[in-house]
Amino acid sequence: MLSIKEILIAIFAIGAIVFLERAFPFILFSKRKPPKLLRFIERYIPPLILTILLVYCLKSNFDLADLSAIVPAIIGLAITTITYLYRKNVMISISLGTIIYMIMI
Amino acid sequence: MIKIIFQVVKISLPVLFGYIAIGMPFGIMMIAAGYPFWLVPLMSIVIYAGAGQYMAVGLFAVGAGLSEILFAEALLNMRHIVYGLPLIESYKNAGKWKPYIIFALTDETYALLTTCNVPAGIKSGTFYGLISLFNHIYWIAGGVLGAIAVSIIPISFKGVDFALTALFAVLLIEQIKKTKSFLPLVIGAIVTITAIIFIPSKNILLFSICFGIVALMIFRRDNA
Repeated sequence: MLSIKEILIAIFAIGAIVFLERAFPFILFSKRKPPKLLRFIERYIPPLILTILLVYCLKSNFDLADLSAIVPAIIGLAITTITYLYRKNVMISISLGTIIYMIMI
Repeated sequence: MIKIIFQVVKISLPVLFGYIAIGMPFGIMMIAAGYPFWLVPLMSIVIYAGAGQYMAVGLFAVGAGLSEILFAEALLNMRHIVYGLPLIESYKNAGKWKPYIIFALTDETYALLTTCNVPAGIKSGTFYGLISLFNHIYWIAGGVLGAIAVSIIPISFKGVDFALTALFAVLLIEQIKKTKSFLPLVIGAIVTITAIIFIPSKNILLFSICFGIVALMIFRRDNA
């Protein structure tokens, strides 16, 4: 276990690293014009990353040995998706999906 | 101003539930590992990265060296390097909020900001800033609640974090409507499932994002 002083140094250093990573594209393109490629990135990267985060969130429900573990998550997601497509109310869809999921697990 | 805050809270409410749910285990872990209470809010304020903070607790506990800690954290949070790209234009006029909203660009804030339109009557910088700030507050509150809860009777919040999964699903629907293409969805799902099966758990996000971007560039049909 590290001492409190070492931990404090580490906390601020980690904070600085994460900040630099987040600031990287803003620093790089503050003066020069972003390349044409950026239009592609703007359009396609957010849905790509959202899909990745979504599937990644399901990881804890994912078990090759027991595929039925994923069922509550799939049902919760189906309820959220279907109610959202019909009602367009974010809070209702998320609450319904989450409550059904919590009951099922 | 009250109307603006109300709108911001309404948009960010799913993140409140999600951050309380995933922030609490962080607070619980810190106290359980024997660290003083005040380190919990400090880390959530200064670092503000979920996976990064979880990993830090482990690295502190095993007594890892500073360079090891920083290297591991840099790799774990590598995906943030591409997060800002779609927001460069939107953040240009953010004014005094800009350094803060770049600092506070977490997965969930990124998901909200790339999907939601700025409501009428609010300056975009103020809107981005307030969404980021509220999410940050939720995250700090989650950790602190966990640290408090661990010393009181443990209540079962099992499954509340599904709110974040559901939030990503709803935002994804909006994104697909905007992009009018299922390509990112198909590629994202394939690379991530592949990564979950074959890649060590701490590298899944990084692997999926790198290969997902490469695959998108190969398979896209238009010349955007």
